[in-house]
Amino acid sequence: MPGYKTVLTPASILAGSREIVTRVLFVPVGDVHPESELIADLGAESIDFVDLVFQLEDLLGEKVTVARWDRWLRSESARLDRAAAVTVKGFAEFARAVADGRA
Amino acid sequence: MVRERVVVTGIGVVAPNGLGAEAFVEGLREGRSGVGPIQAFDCAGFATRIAAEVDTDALELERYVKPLKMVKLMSRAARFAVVAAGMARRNSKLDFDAVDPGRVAVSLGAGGMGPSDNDMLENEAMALLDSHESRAAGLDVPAFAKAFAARTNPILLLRGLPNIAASHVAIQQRARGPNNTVTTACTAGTQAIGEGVRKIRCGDADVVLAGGTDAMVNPVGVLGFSMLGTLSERNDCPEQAARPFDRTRDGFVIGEGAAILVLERESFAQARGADILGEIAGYGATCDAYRITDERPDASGAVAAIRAALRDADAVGADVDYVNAHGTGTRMNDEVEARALTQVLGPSAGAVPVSSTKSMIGHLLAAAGAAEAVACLIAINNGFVPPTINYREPDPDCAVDPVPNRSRELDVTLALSNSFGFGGQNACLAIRRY
Repeated sequence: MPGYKTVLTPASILAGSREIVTRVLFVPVGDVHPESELIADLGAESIDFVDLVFQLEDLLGEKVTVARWDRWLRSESARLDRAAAVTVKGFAEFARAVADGRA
Repeated sequence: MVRERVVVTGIGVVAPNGLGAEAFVEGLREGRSGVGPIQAFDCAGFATRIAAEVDTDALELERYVKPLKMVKLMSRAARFAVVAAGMARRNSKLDFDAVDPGRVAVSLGAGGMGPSDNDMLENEAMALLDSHESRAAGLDVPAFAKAFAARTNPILLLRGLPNIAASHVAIQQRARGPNNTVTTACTAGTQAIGEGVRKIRCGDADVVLAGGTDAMVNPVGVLGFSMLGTLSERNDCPEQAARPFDRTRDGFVIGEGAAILVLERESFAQARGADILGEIAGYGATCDAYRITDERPDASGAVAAIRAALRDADAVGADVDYVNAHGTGTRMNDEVEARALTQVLGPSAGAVPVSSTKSMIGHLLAAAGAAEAVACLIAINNGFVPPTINYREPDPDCAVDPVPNRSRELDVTLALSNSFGFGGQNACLAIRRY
């Protein structure tokens, strides 16, 4: 989506990420809070992570893969492994890193 | 050692003329057609523009799929299977806690003609278009791959695998025993039930969810069968298009749907006090080993399968009260099938009702045999045999009593369900009142 990136802000990325999580995991929007854990709280399984990053393309205007998410997580040494515990906020932070060219 | 009998304790049906066993019973009793103009896609210009489609708005997926997000990993056929299995399980009243999940198996006819759901087709086609300009002749594989990857959600690929429908049934039904998918085209549903019976007989399971599912009302499915010359082209009168055994028949109508039976070891069903709907008493399967789309003109492959099912049920042709025919409505099938039945049923052949429920629900392909086994169980439990609708002009080459146009009250003790398929597949189930 040409030009889409220019309107991205931290707030719009968080809102967009929440919307993706809601849609991909078929959960009520009221259950999706920034601190909600994708696996423990929202029932995500491995195939959902593939779906989540695929959906990021519409938000960010570029192709994203799970491998890229993993690489970024590994580079952020303080963070946990993706499969162990990732929150909605953590997903949005990755999206922001992609948007800012940090991931 | 006395062989354990295998009984049916639950039925689930997703059919073009009725969702659920009760609606299906009434559909068959009334001779209701589920055929209409194709709704699933724009079929302008197609030689065949009719099909028997399922009312997907009424599927109640949220009732049968937990968590609901699993729906995105299900093809249309898998959704039908999961709903039919859920219905069958409820109908059987088999409590999840009353059975060891490791003793519950799944045996499902599926796989039709491969991953050609509408959304997958769109991705493939658009990727081809995107990659087309880069080379004048031949497929530019790297360009296609790039274009396909750019637009396709990877989870879509999982829907097309033939075994995934059976996996979804297992997940929803906590079935951790053997999980088998039979992909023998139009005989798949019948063979899946037959192989499920054998799973119980050989001791591998106490309960088997057995049946079939298919959803080929998509551009590739309709085009494929149409180009092979097997489909009716009576687009102006959809409900009258499927005319098995009629002299004016011009092919089958593609249907879609699923049917699942809960099969149980007799002693297991008795111990839990289950209502028993019938016994799958016999199963036979053969291959013509002749040609891919022609049946042996002497019908010997079909005859051998039917005789094997009767032998397995310890019965003879004279015991048969009703035959649910494969009865596609193609010129060849109906003629060869009538010939086979004349040989197997002997002098009484003309007196045995032989109807084709495909006249109402179309050809459910990998689900056909399962839906038709259900029709036999309905005949046994409801005191009527379903009609062959649209029967107007007898064909001297199809010397059977097709139960023309109206269901008929009849006491049925032993019914046969025939299925024949491309590749020379022949299969038959003998279903007995319990």
